[in-house]
Amino acid sequence: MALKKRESNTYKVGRDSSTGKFIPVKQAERRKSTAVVETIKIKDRTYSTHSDPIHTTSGVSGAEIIRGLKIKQSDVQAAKNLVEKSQKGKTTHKK
Amino acid sequence: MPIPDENSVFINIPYDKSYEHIFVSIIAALISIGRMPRCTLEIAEGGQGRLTRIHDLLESCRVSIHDLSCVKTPVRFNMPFELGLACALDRFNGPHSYILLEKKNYRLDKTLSDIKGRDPYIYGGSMLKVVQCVLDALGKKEGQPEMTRVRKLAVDLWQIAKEIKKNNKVETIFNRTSYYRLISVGVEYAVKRGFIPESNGGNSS
Repeated sequence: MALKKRESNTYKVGRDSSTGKFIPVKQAERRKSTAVVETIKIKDRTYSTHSDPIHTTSGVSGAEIIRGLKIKQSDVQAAKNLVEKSQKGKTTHKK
Repeated sequence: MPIPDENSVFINIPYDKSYEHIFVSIIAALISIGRMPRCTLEIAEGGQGRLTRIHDLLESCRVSIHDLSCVKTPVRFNMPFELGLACALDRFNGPHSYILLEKKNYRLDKTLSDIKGRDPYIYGGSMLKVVQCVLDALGKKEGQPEMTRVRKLAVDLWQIAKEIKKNNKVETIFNRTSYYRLISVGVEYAVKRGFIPESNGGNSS
């Protein structure tokens, strides 16, 4: 075998120094003057590119967001008023 | 260790006046896809220590968004520091995913070379582009809302944010009261426009 796995992030390969071809590690270790044993590092793939998109299948409801953030009912009511006011403003503006 | 909530998203953004519209856009985009925006504005000063509570909040979220585009003086280290916490969380306590945002292409390679190889989403300082980045990174598998509708939501929420500031007589939106008010308005808009159901029994588009 040309490849010999030792650790999860590195492995050894044997290489013939005259031809450059891969050879079994055991053979390379035996032929010290005409072959070498190389250690190949496996690149860390954690930081390869964008993180994978983290898509959801189901989101939360409005009530769950309000509950999750412990938003007071007075804030919710004030928000409703603000939205209503802005919508009224738009209607008036259109007229 | 608390189990991270799949739908909670931690927002790590500079609390600077020039980033208000970006913050509002991220909130609008998250709410439109049924995600729960979380940030350190929720954290009240308590005896526990701010760092512990930031860590707890981050740990309770499955995903975090980190804007690393603030490189002006005075230098602010909060964003890279919180990204470091997120990286450690992913590495040792996972699962935790983090999304990077930058205004300019390739700048992150210089400002934070340790994270080289991981591409940030580039939004060019535009509140409409940042909506696209959030939807690209976190959008729904099925029934993704239309980009134009989410952008409209972001623009309308930004108008309301200005009004909230005026009503509360504050300089920026980056305070607890305004933040909660903003979220409430965002939810109200999202429900009315059919992005998310009002409660679990309802329907969403």
